[in-house]
Amino acid sequence: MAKTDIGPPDYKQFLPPIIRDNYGKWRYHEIVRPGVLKHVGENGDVLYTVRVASPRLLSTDHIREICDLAETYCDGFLRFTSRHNIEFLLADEHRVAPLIEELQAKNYPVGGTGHSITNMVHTQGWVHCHTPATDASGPVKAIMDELYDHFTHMDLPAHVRISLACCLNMCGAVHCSDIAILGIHRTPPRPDNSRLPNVCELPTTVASCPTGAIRADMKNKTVQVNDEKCMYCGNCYTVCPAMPIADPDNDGISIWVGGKVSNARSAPMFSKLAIPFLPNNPPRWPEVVAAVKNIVEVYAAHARKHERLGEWIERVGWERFFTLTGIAFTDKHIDDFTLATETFRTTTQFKWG
Amino acid sequence: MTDSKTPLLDELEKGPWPSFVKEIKQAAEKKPAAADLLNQLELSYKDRIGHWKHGGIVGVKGYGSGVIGRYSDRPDLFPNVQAFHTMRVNHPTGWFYKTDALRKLCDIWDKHGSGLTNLHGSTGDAILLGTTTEHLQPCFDDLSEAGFDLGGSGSALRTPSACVGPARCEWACIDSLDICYQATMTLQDQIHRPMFPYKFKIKVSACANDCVSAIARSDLAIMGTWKGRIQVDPAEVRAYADAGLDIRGEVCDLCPTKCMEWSEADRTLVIHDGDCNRCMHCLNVMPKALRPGKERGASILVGGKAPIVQGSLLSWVIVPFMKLEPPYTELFDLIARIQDWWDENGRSRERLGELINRLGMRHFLKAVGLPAVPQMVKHPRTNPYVFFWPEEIDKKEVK
Amino acid sequence: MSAEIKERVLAYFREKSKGDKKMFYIKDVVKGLPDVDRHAVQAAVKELLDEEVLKYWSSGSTTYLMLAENFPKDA
Repeated sequence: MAKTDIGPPDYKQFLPPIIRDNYGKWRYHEIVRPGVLKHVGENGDVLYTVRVASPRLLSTDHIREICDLAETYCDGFLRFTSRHNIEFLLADEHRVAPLIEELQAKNYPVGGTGHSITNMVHTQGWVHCHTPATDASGPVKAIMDELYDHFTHMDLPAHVRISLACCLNMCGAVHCSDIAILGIHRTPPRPDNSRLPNVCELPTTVASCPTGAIRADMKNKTVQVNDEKCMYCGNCYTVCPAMPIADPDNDGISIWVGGKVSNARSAPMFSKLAIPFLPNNPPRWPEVVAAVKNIVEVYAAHARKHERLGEWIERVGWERFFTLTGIAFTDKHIDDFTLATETFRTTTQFKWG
Repeated sequence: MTDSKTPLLDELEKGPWPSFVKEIKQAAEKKPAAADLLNQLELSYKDRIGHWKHGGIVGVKGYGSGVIGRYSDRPDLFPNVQAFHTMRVNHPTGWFYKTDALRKLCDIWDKHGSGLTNLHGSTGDAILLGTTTEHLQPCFDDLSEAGFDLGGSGSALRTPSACVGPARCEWACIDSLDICYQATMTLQDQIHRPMFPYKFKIKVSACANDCVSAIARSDLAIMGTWKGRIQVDPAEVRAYADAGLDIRGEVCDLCPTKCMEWSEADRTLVIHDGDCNRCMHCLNVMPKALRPGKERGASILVGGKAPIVQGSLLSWVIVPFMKLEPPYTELFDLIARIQDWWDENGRSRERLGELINRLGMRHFLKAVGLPAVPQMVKHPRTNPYVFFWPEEIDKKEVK
Repeated sequence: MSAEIKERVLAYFREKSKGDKKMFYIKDVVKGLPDVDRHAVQAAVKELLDEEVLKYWSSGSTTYLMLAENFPKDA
């Protein structure tokens, strides 16, 4: 019988000796080149970190290759970041250049530090989710292929954090990203009345709906969906596989901008709607890639140094954001959920665009 | 290429960014399940919809958490992914590994699963992607033997996560790793045996840069901060200026509180610490010259969440400053009081922030025993619908 | 004492599972035994889970409880 409740392995056993020696005693750090951090301890010890991107979805054999690299160059010590990057931790400066050389030869992007676009946080999409409105890994790959140079160079006004969630349940909470890419369904689930009575429990299906949009039809042992109330979360499909929500022609992607999580300069902010809908166009989602690239380029051309995307927009105004990016403003952009009126303009202070 | 069964996915092997398709193909060389995953994904790319169904399987004896049941909706075409469950493995705090531990995980997953993983999932767990129902318990047994345990899912405490903290950051005001690890170990039962109204997330960031998005993504955010003066090394400030940093333009002018003045004449930086809100911008720009103040602790915020159900919330300040030293008794006692109030009053699938919104912050504060302080609000209320507690009213006897 | 609470929790599940509904939130169970302390109900449910009389059913985000005999067979 296996032991339960043992918790994760104690992280302290995985800290390289230089980190154990300098734990809580780091003095400063520098980014010596994109993807390379140099941390200096109070006693003068120097730790190098080499950061590379991963596709998040990793095969065990690829992980073993990463282990080989860490054993060759870092005595087997490495860590991962909250954004799916891999960090090799080196106490020996002379190993940094050979490691980078081997990483680049093996096509690992080295970068993601400072004023760059680091790896995208994303969800499972069609690879493993049951309520996705889009794929996750595919759009991420297509977008990062296009923005690759912004990962390997620190050529932007500030950090740009791009995230993708494949439906509004946001198991990857993307709601505070500089650019959030969010899969959306636009049509309610369709109860399959022939299968539903056999595979679903009516009260549970009814109760699964967060907006109370599902009514039991006891006579026919099925359910009915109130289209007005449905907000397309797919929770009913989770408990009742006989009410699919996926709709190839109406599912797609929305784009949100200007969020941030850090408290630096401005307070954390939610992302706001920029583009309500773009189609799912696999395998490379050209409309989505073009839209993201456009936003990044307009931002890079107009923002001041250290200004995050949302800080830039707040300074110039949303009306100018829409003009500069050429993105169409629609009635979808005007909030109609709770507290919507707090977002309406109550002053004559606005710009012409 | 003409004979490829996956022409759409093959397109995503091109380009400089690492390709997830290559990963699946690599696993597919050994594992029929990975091969069928690839084929089913190609169908999704063709149909433009997903092909998974959910199942409520939990599968590990004694636990109600850590496994996500997944089934193909086309088992006729893809029999090797008929069942393709996820196991969430609680990551080592800070995502630090030694390769022998990672290799053990790989060996276990090659033995029991598809050979595919996510390093890491959104909550922080190491995700083992795709196995059958029969393999869940043996896989867990092997994980346990190797020193690993499952993470949270469902109406449970989710795997807590922490930034890199004092292990590799000069800005760390608290030991985010130790706090996170101690919370994880202390609250094991809450992680594995879901008994809450809904999910509960704890994240620990050691400074206001918030590298684990604690304010945006957790019901309870622990944020390192300090009191007192920013530590200044005047020689290093001058060194930044000498090296060409525009201290007035890039530091002082961007300070949200305008609490800093740079005098070009005598090349000194004056900080009016009483005005500082500790946003971290100046420290971020001049890490060599400026350091957090010496009296360190944490601000505690609660209520953050993604949209489901009633909309996204950012966490709210409830404790402006708490000293955090092992064994963190004050913190863990507060967490227990907060969770107990939520568990008592929350409706099913109501997150802490939504409950506070429904019942009122003053009721929450009274129940968990925290005093109201101005740091909790952006500004005081503007509406006149003010309620007083019964004991605050001078009740006259009716004659 | 705890044996009695377990009995009552089990009786709750038996009674409530007579209809179409087989899956319950822990909050439903707590409400079903209003005179018993919430923590005691939770403890009793955990024991019944350990004994595999009850089973968890998880949507991934939300967890339900049900009698083991009602747990759906593999999809």
